[in-house]
Amino acid sequence: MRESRDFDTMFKEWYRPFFYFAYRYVKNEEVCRDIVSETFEVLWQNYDRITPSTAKSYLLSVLRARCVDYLRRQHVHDHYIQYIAELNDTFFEEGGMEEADRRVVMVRNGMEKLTPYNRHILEECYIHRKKYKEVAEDLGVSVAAVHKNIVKALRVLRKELRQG
Amino acid sequence: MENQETTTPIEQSALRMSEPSADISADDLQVLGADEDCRDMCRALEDTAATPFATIDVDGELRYFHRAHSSHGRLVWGMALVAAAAVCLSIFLLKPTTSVIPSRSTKDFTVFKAAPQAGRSALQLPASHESIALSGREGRYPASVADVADGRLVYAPVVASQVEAAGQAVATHRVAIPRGETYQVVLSDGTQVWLNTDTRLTYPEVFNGVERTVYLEGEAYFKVAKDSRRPFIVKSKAMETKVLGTEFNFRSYPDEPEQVVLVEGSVEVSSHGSSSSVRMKPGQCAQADERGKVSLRETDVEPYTYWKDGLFYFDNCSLESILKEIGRWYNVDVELRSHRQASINLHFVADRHKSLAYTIQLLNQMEKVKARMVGGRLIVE
Repeated sequence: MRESRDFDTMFKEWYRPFFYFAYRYVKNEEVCRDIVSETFEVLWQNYDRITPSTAKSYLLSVLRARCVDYLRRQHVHDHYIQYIAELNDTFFEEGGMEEADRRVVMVRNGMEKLTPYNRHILEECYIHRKKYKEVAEDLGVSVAAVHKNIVKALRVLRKELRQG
Repeated sequence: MENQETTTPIEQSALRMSEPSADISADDLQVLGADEDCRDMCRALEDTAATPFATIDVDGELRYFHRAHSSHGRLVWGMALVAAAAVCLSIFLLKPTTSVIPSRSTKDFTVFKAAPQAGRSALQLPASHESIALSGREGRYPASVADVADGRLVYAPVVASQVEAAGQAVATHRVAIPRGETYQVVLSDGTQVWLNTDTRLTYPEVFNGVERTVYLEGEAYFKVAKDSRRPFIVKSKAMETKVLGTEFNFRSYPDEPEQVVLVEGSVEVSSHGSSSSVRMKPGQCAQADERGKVSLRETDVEPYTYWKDGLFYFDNCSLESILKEIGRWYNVDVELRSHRQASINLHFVADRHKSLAYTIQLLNQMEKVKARMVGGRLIVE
């Protein structure tokens, strides 16, 4: 029997961490929403057969498989896939997903503490997906200057993350 | 403690690997695998990318999920219309936002369920999760928007060759129309789109590819600007239409089969389920059944386009379909208390901009049904 109430609880708890997991692989919001939605569909269809204690890691595996499939179809280099997989393995640990949710909030808080210029560079690179050279050209500064700014921002973010 | 001036080797590695579209080498992966600090740094930078999504409306996603999976526990998708020329396509989509729940007994059943109010018509930027109310010229709209006034959003015209030359990243926009409103959008290629109630249209702010693709949930009337080099594709949940320059009405709502009605030109319709496509002629309606099979029939096209002129127009339509449409427009639950009446056919024309009370009065004047408001719900018997 499908317990809509319990499914809803899992959905509300796991949607964002799943999204973050997928977004690390696939930097496309619509595709991520689709993939995350498909993963919850797997839970929905197989609800009776999935035991609660193993549901999380099972679904993460499904999610990962779909992300990797998508990247392979886009002919993304294997090394990139391995790079992200390495970063995402904390999700599989105890408390990994909750940690991911909290981290993003802390990174956001950290970003508030940056100077506007610093934050702008960070956002241009990581949110708007521009290469360092491109950002440097846009701002009329050297690539080394962009690097320095990102490292500065990174240190602030890590400090914020350590305190959280 | 890190030296404020110099970047450490680990920081350098993290910087190199996390750059968008970076080429990651086997050595990089080794460093990553061996050094926890490096992984931590990369994660922090990757998490920056995720910050706009910290405000995802999870409850909304859950509602959407249930809507898509309510009937038969199966995802039911709509049709895709490919319009080749001026096509008036009316596509009805089996979309589960409003489900018909037939009662098991011979008593009443709910024809339409109202949705929580979505607010005003808005221009959304999905990537940054911004939502800008389309309330007139005062709003802060993206640069690609030329004008917003009186129910009409106009994009600055862009010549295709200009766009290709610039090779810039282009933002995806989405216009979301709540119940009780209609809106018109003029896209950057000159295509005019009239959006009906409870509709969302997603599109790039500038068309810069080999095709012009938009995504539709709901109902829209398209007058596609001619561009023989770039077909205009409308995708819905189940169907896809390819058009070169054409007029059509595409209707894709959750609780009915998707329908496309062609007014002028020619259109190729395909459904996501099958690989084949069907070419439509003006005066035809393409409809997708539950399994995605598309069938064509001859029809008068005008009835499918009157909504654009602010009218309810039902020519010999079932009471059930009339009530569904009224429920959707006014966003009220509608309960039909007699199965027998659901299929009686009526001719009903009314002004959408009149109040619900007035419309109910008109409905009752036909003396075929008795409709009244009870506790915020429309009861018909």
